[in-house]
Amino acid sequence: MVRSLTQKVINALQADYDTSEVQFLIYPTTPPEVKDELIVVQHEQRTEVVCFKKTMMKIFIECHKLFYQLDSLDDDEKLLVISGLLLTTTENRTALNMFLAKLNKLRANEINREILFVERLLSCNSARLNKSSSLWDLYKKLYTAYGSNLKFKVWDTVTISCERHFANYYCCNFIRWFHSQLNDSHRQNFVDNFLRFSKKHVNDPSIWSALGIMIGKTDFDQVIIFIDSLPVTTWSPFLAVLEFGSRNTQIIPSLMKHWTKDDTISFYNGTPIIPDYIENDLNSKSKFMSNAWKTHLLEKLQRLQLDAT
Amino acid sequence: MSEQQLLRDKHIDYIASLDTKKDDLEYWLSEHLRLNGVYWGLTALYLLDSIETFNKEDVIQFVLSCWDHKTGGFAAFPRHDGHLLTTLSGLQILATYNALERLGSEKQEQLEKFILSNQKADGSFQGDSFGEVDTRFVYTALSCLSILHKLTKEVVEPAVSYILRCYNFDGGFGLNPEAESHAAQAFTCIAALAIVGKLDSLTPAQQENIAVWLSERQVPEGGLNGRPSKLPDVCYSWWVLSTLSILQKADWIDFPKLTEFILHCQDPKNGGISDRPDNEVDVFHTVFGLGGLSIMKYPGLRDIDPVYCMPYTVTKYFQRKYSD
Repeated sequence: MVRSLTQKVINALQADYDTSEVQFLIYPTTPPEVKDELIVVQHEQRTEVVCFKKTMMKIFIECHKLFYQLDSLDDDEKLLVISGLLLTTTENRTALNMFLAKLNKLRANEINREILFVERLLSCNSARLNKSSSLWDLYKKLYTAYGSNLKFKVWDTVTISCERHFANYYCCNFIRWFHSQLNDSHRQNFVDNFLRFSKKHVNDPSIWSALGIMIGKTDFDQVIIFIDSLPVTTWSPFLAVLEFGSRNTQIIPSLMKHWTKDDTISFYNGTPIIPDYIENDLNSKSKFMSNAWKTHLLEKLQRLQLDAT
Repeated sequence: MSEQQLLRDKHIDYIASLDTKKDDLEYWLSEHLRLNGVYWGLTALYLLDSIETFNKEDVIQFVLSCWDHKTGGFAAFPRHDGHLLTTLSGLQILATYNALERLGSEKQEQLEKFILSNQKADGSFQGDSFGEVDTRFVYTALSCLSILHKLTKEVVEPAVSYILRCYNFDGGFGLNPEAESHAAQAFTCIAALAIVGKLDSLTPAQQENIAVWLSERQVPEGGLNGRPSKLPDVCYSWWVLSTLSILQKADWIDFPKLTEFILHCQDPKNGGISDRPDNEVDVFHTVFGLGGLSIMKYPGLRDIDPVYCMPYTVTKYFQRKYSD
């Protein structure tokens, strides 16, 4: 029999809550005042399903032992064991294959629970889970199979995951794919929302790089206005400009006029070298970095233009 | 030369200790990565010129015990499912020990069948029947076929065409077409092309562009990152440097600074190398840190083939080209 802890945690991760936002959080240590292995905290806007590293270890011990006795378990118990392994051991190919095989035998209402489970793993605060390439691939499979008739919380899943994990490679590649799946009416709405989201994550290269392949000319103009307005002092937003410029080389001459290269700036393999005399002057440093990244961008665009001719 | 020194003996002790921790939960938590871990450990020991630290026969027996008769590939651990990643690790270990013949012709045929069954119509490879597609698996498949001398035009040409579709304008490669550039993906794509003798399918301008993007992975502190604006990580000492080395441009990296960074990631007490200074060590970062140092000709380390991350004395027997 699968022990109660695995069942309790998996049930909590598959449950519906009163709030639309649900976050799964795993903390390394259990506070001394906490006696439970699982806590569900209901906030006004958000529900938190909280576990501890110790909880995860206990689930692993339960499921790992039963993994080698699967033949003696019924279907529900097997699914629990496999889910417990997905939760505690990422990139476990055997558990993934078994999970996929089980999904194919479930009814639509049962699939809903599994979608919630996968979404909560992908948006949890554990890097191993939220950046797992195979879990993102599993989510893609689920969306492909059931996206038209079952409820998915793609926006919440990807944005929470991005916020939990800086430069989340597999999440942002999922975003690129998801955008390509949308029809025209939904696509612009998604881009508008994603542009707003990107502006709140000005350091994140994967978010801006993904934005770059989604945007049209009007969105691109907004990115330029955004860069000029702050001014932007990190490289990431320029990745969107570069990505768009690579597909629309005709805009390069106007950008070369809009911004100018500062040839006095030195770089170390593409990283600007900040002169010592402005190191502690925040205002001068910001201006310097903004000019430096523009210079770096214009050099790359010039190279693209050369390659194109 | 760096003030820090390579802690050779401590690293050997660290790797030797990994298989003795069966009472630790961590050992079982990484069970599903075990065969990869054995390959990383063995290759690290080779680099440290201490391959005899592992018991050859025990390791070969373990590899053979990971055979998955259902798929015809190697799994990470007995009774797990076969996958291309673990199949490559199994073959790498057997080849390093000059023990490929222990497979016998039947298993070699099954392996070939398993690998080929994972190629998709567009030339890409999935890792197994689960269906995850990634340029990692193209490299893995071509490397396995090269070890087994089973490269053919029918497999290679679509695979090469798929790899070229994953090349990005910025000089990087993504996990699939239209995906973000990533240094590890640059390795898998360039090394895969090198295995099949198709590096010339990239123009000199593209090769230059790739080298520029890869050299920009070195941050002023000396370490290499995998993407712009990310922190440096020891494993990119391998992914970036080996790729540049294949392109004959390893000297685009500042060796003394990178050496310093890697050596700072050593655990001075128990050995092993971590991703960044003061983090916990693991065998993955240990082998790729040592691999990076080896490419930079760090004294006392053995040479390694940047295409296969294996000894040249072994890879010289692999199939590098195929007949049209």
